[in-house]
Amino acid sequence: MSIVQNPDKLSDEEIVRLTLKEKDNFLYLIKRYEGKLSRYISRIAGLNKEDTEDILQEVFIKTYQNINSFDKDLKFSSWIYRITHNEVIDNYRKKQARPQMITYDNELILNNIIGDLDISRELDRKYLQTHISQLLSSLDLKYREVLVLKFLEEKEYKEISDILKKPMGTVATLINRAKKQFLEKLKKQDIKL
Amino acid sequence: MEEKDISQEILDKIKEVKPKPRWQFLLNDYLIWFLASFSLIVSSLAFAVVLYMLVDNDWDVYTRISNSLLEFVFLTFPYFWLIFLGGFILITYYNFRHTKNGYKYPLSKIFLASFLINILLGTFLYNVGVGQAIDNAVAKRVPFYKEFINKRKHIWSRIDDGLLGGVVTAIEEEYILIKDIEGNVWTIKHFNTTTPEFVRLQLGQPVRIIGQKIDSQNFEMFIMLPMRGMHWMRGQNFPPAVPPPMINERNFR
Repeated sequence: MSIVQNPDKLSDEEIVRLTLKEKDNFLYLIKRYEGKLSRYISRIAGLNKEDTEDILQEVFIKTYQNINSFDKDLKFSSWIYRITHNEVIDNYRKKQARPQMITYDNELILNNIIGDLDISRELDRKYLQTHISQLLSSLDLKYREVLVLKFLEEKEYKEISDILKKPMGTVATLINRAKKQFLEKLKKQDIKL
Repeated sequence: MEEKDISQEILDKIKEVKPKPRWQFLLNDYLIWFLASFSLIVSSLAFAVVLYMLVDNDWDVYTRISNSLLEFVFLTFPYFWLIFLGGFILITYYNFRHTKNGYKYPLSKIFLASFLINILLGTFLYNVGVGQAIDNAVAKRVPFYKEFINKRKHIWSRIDDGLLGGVVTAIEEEYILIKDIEGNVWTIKHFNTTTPEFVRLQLGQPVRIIGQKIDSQNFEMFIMLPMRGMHWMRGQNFPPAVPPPMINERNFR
């Protein structure tokens, strides 16, 4: 049984340490991350609930199996997001399919992405409010993922670099290219209006 | 309620698995570092050979060998070792990129750093004779090396063009004997030739001779220089130090 009295006050890293002593403590990490990771998987992979849960289970099992390799220089959240990213990529390669239309929290995206993209035309803003999920779903996985990490998961560049295992400069380039592709797709849709 | 079920389900599954031991990850880290270091050392060795083949080349007589400097460079460029060097730089990059923190460094920095180490370590290895030793060892053991990789053997086998490379096998008052790269013995007269003062003839010394072929055993020498590179020529079995019977002083005039 769990030996922790007040788990909410403990950091992830402390729970990792306690999990190594008593595996039931891993439940606190599961509870802390299942919602976040489930959303993250849905946001980047656009899978149905069942597939998302399968990936989530696999992520937690791999996290536990590899818990001795957790690098204390890294944030635990970056590490578990990295494992999730790898699992999603593996799944994506196995199925070789583009995601279905992903439903995003439009309000959150509008607040975070649009301000950054400098979209001034009223027509574009209105269009985005109704079609932003469709636009994001149509992006390449690598671009959709950095946008999700930056604007929806609200991760810092350093964290994105640790999650994707890419240098910070490459992360910045990916974000810029993702924005560019997003705007290009927006322009194409705009013409069709 | 459903979320709780998933959590419990995951925890139940986890009860059946054990975390991998820490030593496995440490071993993996050390192995990757070992491979990265090993490939860096191998690429530095390749750099030492490249340097050796470039420096110890026939720059002093290239006008006698080819029509232009460009043609000479094209002819004697150490392509194989440069490809080998490039291959191991890529392997170094791949291994370094897979170390724990390797992903933090951009490709350009990793390449630049490994190339700088190659230059420093490779130059040191060249200076202590490792480049030469590798060329020597490979030439002795790998049959096609002298045919396709270090092609200077071909240059100094162009007897009809007046280029003769070989080892001094006998030194007499009026002639010397040279065993060429193919193992043929040539008789070469001492007199009426230009031999730079720094050339001190001794048995077993590899030399380059520029001159003119007289017949299948006699060669007229215009200039003799010590061999640069191709140290694998040293220590070959010498034939008996006697001139062929048809040697005739008139042949050389």
